[in-house]
Amino acid sequence: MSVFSDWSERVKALARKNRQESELDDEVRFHVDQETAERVRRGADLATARREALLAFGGMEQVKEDVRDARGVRPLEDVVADVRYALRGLRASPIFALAAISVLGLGLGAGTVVFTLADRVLLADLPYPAADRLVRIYEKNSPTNLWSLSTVDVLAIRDQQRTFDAFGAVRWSEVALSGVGRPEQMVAGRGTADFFRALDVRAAAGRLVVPADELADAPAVAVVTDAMARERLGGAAAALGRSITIDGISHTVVGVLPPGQGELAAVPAQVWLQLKLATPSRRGPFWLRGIGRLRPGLTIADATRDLAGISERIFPLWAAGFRDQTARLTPVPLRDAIVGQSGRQLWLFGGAVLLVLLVATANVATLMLVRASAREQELAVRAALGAGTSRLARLLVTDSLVLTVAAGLVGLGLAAFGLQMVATRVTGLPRLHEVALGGRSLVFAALVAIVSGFLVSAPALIASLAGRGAGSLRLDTRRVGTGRRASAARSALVIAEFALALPLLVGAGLLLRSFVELQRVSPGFDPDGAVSIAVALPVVRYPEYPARERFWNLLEQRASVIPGVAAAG
Amino acid sequence: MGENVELLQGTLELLVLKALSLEPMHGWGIGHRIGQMSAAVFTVPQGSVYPALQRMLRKGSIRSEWRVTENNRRARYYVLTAAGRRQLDAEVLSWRRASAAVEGILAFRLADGAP
Repeated sequence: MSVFSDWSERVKALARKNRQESELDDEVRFHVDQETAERVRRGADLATARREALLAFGGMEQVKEDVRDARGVRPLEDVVADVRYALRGLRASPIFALAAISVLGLGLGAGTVVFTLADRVLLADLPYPAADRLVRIYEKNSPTNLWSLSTVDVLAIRDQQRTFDAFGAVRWSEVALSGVGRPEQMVAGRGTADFFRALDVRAAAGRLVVPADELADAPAVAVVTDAMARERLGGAAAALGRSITIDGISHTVVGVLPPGQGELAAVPAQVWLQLKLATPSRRGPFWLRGIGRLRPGLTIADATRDLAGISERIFPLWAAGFRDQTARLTPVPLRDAIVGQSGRQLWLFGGAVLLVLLVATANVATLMLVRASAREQELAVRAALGAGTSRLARLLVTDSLVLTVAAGLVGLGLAAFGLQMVATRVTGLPRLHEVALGGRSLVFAALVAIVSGFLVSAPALIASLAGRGAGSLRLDTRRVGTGRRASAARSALVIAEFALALPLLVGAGLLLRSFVELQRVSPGFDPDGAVSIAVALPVVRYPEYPARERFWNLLEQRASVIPGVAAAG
Repeated sequence: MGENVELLQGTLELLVLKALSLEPMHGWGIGHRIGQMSAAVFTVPQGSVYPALQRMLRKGSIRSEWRVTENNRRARYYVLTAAGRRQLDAEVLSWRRASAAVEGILAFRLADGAP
């Protein structure tokens, strides 16, 4: 309470400075008038009374100054004055301001982009309840060789496992959607009921896949994303019960996923169907992803033992067609399975950006140092007029902070733009749809701006404060800025910059080179003007080979007569 | 007029609180009232009450408002807040305890034997 009233009074005092000053004048004048009147009443003549009243009051200006100090706004006023002064200084040298702000802004922007990516892609939890209990199960026969599961594996795990609350399988394929609006090719995920139960996703409307859907004669059902329901089916409520045609088979829409959820366990599907597992006739093919939710309190190690037992039990049953006895069913935390290799890339990238930031900071620090040398005499005058060391240091730091905070704002703008670019242009990073400039990114940018503010001012601070004892006030004939301290600091900065820039340059060069090499691999034909089109034929409409052949021949004929097409095949 | 005594450090606020507990007053009135109440023992440079008032405003123990005096002049009046009243009670208590202790020490004589 008292802390609050204390600071609210201080801030009010700052805001109403002018009114308070005039009120203070009024108050003091009233006091003296009142005292004078009192003394006149006691019999003194007016002039004497007034003189004595002033005397009794004490030093008028001293009192006023004490009152001002008692308002407790001195530090705040100083900060405001320093910020104003810094802004004026920046306006006076716009080229310096522009250079410093854009250099730092670029560094900060890049840093914020990489931080946001790392934060969202690598560090944030998966968007499922108790996501740390989710695992993906692989077949594995060496530390680096992992592959997906077969129907045999999935059925065996489903029937024999004792470590999971739920275990389901999923696979996905490109399908042709028709029957609602424009026909389109899209990704369909097929999951067992337990796949959805393991992830613990809920339908926003209707239901998800249930065990009854997995029976061989169960009718075909579909669960659509919220986006698809809105764009094609007239909203989530209207979508339920509609029928959509997928690969020529009619599916009834039974449920809609919550808004924003579409990609489940990194399967980028727009529509979800039931997965019917036929009784296997051989061990392969290995085309299913197994997803499990560990029981509370159990660890990956428990699941590993459990699954290894299952591997050993099923191996003899199928040994005729599958000889790899070392293959083990192996659980991997789902987040690691999804994030995978992109982790290392992002850390590498983060390191590069950190170097860029340091180079930018060092550059701006050099600029600040030059400015500070030019201001040596101004600082000396301030010191001579009674400014203490800490007051001068505050001035220099405020100067830098104003600069870096401005750069931080520029950087945030760049980062927002950059993230949009990354989200739309970059492929191959998982979980990109979860990425956005959030509160943590803002905190990061603010922290970096403040830290770099202090870093940037440090060399100037050391140089000018250390040199102060030497009596810079005397009008010396040396050129300003040639002080030994300043030049030593400058050399150190240049060396640091070079040391930082070198690995950056080498790293960037290597990255660029491998990228160019990759692009240069000859495809074996002239790619100029060549266009490739993928067509998925619904199995239902084209069940037999002759029908398909007719389709392709017809397509080739008609395509080659389209104006502008030189050849089709 | 009796002998003048320097005001003890920190007691000015206590006296101001006491003066304001009687009625809201302007700065001059507070100084005047303290003089009256102490039978002119304490000399306070009249201006020194203002920084003290400003500090107390910040603490929230008093608030101020502009009123018109009986002579029809605008003056800044200070009013004790609830927090200020509590502070006065607490400070009076600790002052009494301290002054009793000092009094006890001053009155102490070896000849009396007992503490």
